[in-house]
Amino acid sequence: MSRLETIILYLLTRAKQRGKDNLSKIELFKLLYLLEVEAYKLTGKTFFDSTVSFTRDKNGPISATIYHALNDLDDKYITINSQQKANYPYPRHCISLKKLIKKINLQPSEKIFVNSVIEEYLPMTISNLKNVVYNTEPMKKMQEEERQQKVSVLKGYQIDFSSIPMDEDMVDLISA
Amino acid sequence: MNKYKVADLLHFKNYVFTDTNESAPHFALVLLPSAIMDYEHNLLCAVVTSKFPKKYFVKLSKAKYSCLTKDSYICCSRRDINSITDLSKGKQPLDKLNKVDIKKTFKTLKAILYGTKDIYLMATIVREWKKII
Repeated sequence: MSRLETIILYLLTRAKQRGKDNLSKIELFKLLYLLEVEAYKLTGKTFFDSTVSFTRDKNGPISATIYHALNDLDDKYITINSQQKANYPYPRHCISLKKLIKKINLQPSEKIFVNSVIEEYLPMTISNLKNVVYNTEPMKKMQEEERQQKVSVLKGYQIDFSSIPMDEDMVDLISA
Repeated sequence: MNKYKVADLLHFKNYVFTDTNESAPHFALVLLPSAIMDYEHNLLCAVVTSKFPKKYFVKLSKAKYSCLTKDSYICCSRRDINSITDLSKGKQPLDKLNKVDIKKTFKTLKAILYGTKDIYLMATIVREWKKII
């Protein structure tokens, strides 16, 4: 199992512990994106590995690698169901754990880091999550580029996490 | 879910020192909230003692913290995982650090974290403490 798949399963486990039996694909993408933003901000590097990248889509950052990971996990570890709400034209893709994962191969400190991020964002509505995502440095940079090029969405453009300024206290600590 | 947050002062009837596995009744400071621990009945704590530590401490005056009967010290170099089941009975937390002591403690914690190789522990402590500074 890849590190990304492990992290997805851990997020779903944590969400379930918090009373959310499933996450929508949009929520999951946004949570994983925010986890990556926080990792760059506090450690200066990716939380995943070099294979995971995010690109601009009309509703924010998406990742082909995450789509692939979800496909690989589907049926064996997770279930993806489409739900249609009466007053909303698009289906909600609900991702839930197929079974409880007993052993998650992450270090204890990696888990508490994920928990710290998730605890802040998991209770948010999709609309609030979207606001947070669009206010991150990489998305602000992307929107600035879109304004300059006079296009509504630079669809498919890679999100640049190097634009995230590192936390000053962490800079001091890491340079030890 | 329990409610203990960063900078809360608690009293344990049975505070366990992770490195030696010895235990004793002690005051303690919450370093990371229970909500983000791997197991939510656990807390990452630093012991608070009336014995003067050699270094990496923050003094808590009994005049400022009514739960203390003596002037005491947060031993910031300790990071012990304790269970909420070992808390003393009665109202908890007993108190919370004031703004000045929060700043002093964060500064001292950073001095200790300076040599830590565990970047995610470091990042999480910095992230959580900066929320209250």
